[in-house]
Amino acid sequence: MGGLDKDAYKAIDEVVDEKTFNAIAKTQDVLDLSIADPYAKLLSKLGDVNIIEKIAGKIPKDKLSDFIKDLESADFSNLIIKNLDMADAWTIFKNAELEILARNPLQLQKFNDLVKNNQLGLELKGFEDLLLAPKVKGLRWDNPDGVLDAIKRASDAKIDFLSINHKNFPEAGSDNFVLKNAKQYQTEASGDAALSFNKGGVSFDDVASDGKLVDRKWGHGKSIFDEERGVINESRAQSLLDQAQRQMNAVGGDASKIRWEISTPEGLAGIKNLFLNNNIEIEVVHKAQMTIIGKL
Amino acid sequence: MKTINFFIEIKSGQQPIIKIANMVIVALGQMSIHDKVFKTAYFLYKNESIGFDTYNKEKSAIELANHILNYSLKDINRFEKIENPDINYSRPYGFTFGLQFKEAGKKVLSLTFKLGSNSNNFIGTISISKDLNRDLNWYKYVIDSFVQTGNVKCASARPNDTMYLEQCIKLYRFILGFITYFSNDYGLQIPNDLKDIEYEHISNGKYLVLKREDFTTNEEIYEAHKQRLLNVMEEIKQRVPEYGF
Repeated sequence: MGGLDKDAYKAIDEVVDEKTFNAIAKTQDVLDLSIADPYAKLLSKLGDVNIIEKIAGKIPKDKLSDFIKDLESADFSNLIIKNLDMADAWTIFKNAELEILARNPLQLQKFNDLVKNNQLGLELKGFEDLLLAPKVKGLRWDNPDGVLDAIKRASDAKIDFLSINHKNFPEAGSDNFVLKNAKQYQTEASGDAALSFNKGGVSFDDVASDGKLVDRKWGHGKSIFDEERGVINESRAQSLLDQAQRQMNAVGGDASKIRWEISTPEGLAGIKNLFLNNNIEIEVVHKAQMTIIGKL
Repeated sequence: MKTINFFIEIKSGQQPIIKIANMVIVALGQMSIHDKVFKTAYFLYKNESIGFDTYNKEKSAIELANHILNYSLKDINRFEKIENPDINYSRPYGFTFGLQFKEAGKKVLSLTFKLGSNSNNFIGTISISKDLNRDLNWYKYVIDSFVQTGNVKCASARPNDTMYLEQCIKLYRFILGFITYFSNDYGLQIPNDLKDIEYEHISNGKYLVLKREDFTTNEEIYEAHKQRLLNVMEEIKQRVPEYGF
């Protein structure tokens, strides 16, 4: 036990019984411990030095105190003991500052299941990169619990070469009704407005449970079309057609793989007419916004 | 008043930007001889439209080509990773852009173009203003200007009617209009003796004309003609099953 100093032994001695102390001594031979106390506590929670050995390789030392704290929850500690891979999930959630997920056994289980079995070709590192993406940009996921569900939906859709990324949704100012509600509308689809589902270099807002790639359009009524579905803003109409063509190119020309969801009946009527006039066979439907934010 | 929209299917094939621009300018130049509304085209950018003359063949084609290139540049950089393409650039997906035409300062017609791709090339309609008072012969003239370039597969001046289009798009390969053109190499043998149809055969193909006089101001007659078009399409489908889905 050459690695521990006198104070560390003293600390261990104060918190653990003899059996545990001996186990720590054994662990110390295996692990490069410089601080004995947290590991002693860890052992007292998990009661098995073999488990500690395995977990020690998964939990960074700077996260150890947090981990021990979370082990206070019986649900959490039982989950960890049952499946040590959950420690990976916990670490990634913690690194991504997704505290809510890290403490939730259901989310940990969901994450673990997705890592083991997904159709997106995502491995542990890929999940880590995705969940950490906003943090790297100095941002946060607004609804982290929706992110895993979205990954699951996308995986179940079995769409070739589909990837999921974090996109910078324009930040809504405190009084920007349009941006706030456009963001809300996207959140209601995918779970988090910053999720981007990429196919062939083109970003979609969601993958629906029926496997279609979804593009959501908030508004798009009177700002583009008049009451008789006529176009009043031709540049924006052209942009919509450009976007539809790009999406069609991305899915090999098969319009049945795409759906546009429009928040207003006026936008639906206008876009539908525009598409029909230009032989774009993408399905266009009205999906009302569930929650309106603020007042116009 | 009901509006009529253009839909012109262009033969497929990857084409460089300058060749696309040449084809469009040849047609617009032809159209501008008969209607001065086509003398200036406004290229639709995201937040503005930039006007250019259409009647100086070579100069106009280069100008249009440069607009197409500028408009597509970000897209080309992003998808094809080509940093400095020029007007001789081509790609499998072709190029999309919009042109607007004005009369007395008012925008009266906006067309959308998807050209130069390996599949599904067309000229469609974004908007036709009710202020643009033109008879059905004018629609035929516009279609014919593109037909004369030798690049049109089929074309129609058809009702701008969501229900009509929605119904037809699921049933028929090409939606008939009050004036319809099929080239000789359309691929299907459209009969030459359809009921209610007047034919005009030209060297490249044939026009099917339902009605020449203007009826867009009379809703009852408009609806009746629309129904006649549906009947004609159904007759084609009965006689040429490949025309239907």
